Amino acid sequence: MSQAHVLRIENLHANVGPKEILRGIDLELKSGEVHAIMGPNGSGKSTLSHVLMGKPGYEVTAGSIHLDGTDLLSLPAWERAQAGLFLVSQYPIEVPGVSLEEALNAAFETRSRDASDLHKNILNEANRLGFPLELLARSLNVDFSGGEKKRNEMVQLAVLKPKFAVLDEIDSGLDIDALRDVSKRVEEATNDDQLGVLAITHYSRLLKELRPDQVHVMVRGEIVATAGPELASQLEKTGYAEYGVEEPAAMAGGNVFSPLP
Amino acid sequence: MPTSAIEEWRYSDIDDLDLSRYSVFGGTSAPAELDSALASPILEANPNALIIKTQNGIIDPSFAPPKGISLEATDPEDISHDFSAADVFSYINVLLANPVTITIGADHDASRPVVVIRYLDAREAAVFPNLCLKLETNVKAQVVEILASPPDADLLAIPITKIFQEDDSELDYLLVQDLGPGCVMIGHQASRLMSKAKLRSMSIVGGGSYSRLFTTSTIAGPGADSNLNAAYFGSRRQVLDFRTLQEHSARNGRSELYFKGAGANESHLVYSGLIKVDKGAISTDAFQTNKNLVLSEGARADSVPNLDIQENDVRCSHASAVGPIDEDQQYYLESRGIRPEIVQRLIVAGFFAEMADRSEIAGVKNILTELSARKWKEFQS
Repeated sequence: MSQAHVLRIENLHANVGPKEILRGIDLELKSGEVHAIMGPNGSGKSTLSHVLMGKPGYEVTAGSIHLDGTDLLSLPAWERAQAGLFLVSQYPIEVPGVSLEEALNAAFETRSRDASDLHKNILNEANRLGFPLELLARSLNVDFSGGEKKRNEMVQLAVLKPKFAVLDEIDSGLDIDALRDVSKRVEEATNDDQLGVLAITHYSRLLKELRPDQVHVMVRGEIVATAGPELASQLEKTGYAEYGVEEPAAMAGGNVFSPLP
Repeated sequence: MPTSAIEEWRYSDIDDLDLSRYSVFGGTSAPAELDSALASPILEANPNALIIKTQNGIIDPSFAPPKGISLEATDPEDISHDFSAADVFSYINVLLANPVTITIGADHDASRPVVVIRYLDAREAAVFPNLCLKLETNVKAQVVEILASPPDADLLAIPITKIFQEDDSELDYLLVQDLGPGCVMIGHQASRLMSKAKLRSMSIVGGGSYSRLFTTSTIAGPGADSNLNAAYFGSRRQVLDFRTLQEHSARNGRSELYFKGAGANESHLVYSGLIKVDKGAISTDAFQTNKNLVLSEGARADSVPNLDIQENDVRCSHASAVGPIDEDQQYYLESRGIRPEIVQRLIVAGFFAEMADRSEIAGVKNILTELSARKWKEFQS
């Protein structure tokens, strides 16, 4: 049993340009837990994922993020990753000429981790996740389908074994089989490695596969409701209307209507 | 003497070239072995290669050509004629060179790459390597040219390579340039493709204080296909200067050019290319892409693509890009917990590795890896 870790977000405020997008987020996530953040378009969900990971271009104006005792806001993205945070990107970036194995090798090198089993681990995870082995030697994400990109993100997560993972709209661009494979692997990681998961999503479809312990509703940069998984089912029926948002957003199978970037 | 005031020499280092420093190499030299880390992957990956050694432009007299290859110490005038007018340096080359013509015929064993080593170790001299490659009808071949010097060489290299392909011939050609930092190169590579001939060319340029390569390819017969690639990485105060001409004189031809460079430290990359489609060259496809990664504030890249189209029924495009490492790529890899400087090294290595499948010659990928590793080291030191 691995040691229990805590990711704690307190009173987090962040701007993009002059505009305040996050307006006081509080959230605590422990090892092995799955929390979902749901919300309509433009509620600040993706901003939260980028601020957590440390993407340039976001200005934190107040609040804190701690992973155990480590102040993540004082660290650049690569050191946050080393501290144990992993972001599954909504739109994984194409990196011409760099293969998955080269990238993971460099990630191990930076962590001074022993990479002697790396190749074996990658093959094993690719098989578990249904990621085509012939893509392993190809350029990262270049000409990958939506499903291949997300499976590829999951191979990286499974090999790097972070303490916490933020899944940013992992269901966008996924067919039902891929969604099931990816969700299954996330769930196994929460059980086997005590991975803590923050799943950001627009739709309840994901949460049928990935059973959350807690569901938070985020509207206009704030968490306006927190409850058990029953909240997701309720949102599926009522949308976000009761939070003052006219959008039938939480319907299942929403991938077809998935918003554009 | 040309000056940088002339368009063809704009952005170049020509004004700094002091010809009086060099005498015309006319003697002989003590035999020396090639020592080039950039070229060694070729020799390792092709143990069966047919190796033709030249030193300061003069061919190893003990070389005995096998079946399918013939060797002459003359310059076929009809072919030479096209090139001598290119610029004053090509003209001088034609006057002073000891030309070598390699004709590859039907009996050539296509599984055996021909590697021409042009080792230059003259001192304070100008050398004029001159190679003509002729592929007869229907012949398939791989030819590698290694242009290298010892690291402490101090010379002016004015090489010419002429490729002449008869109907339906197919050539995979690779140039590896690994001259020392004290060398200046003003080179010319030209190809003429007859009906349905196919050329796949890759030039990998690493060395020289000023290295200029003028690449011309002429679609001279209908249906010919010319694929021109180059990878180069400038460091310190290097000037790497590429001029290209894709000339379509016959119909149904295709040419595709893809030149990629990275510039570090105070280096300067230059690319200027022209696609020229002559009257009558209908149904032409011609494409030109030049991408430049600029890795430091002191580095600079100029990229000037041009089109001159005299015919209507053609498909032509050109694209050029000059910029730093892509921020999104940088962030994406950093978010996997990779140190920023390692991320940069990976992205730059990838920028070149991506070129590897543009050549079928074994060992190209390792040369590209060696080029980016070596130059990255120079950049960081």
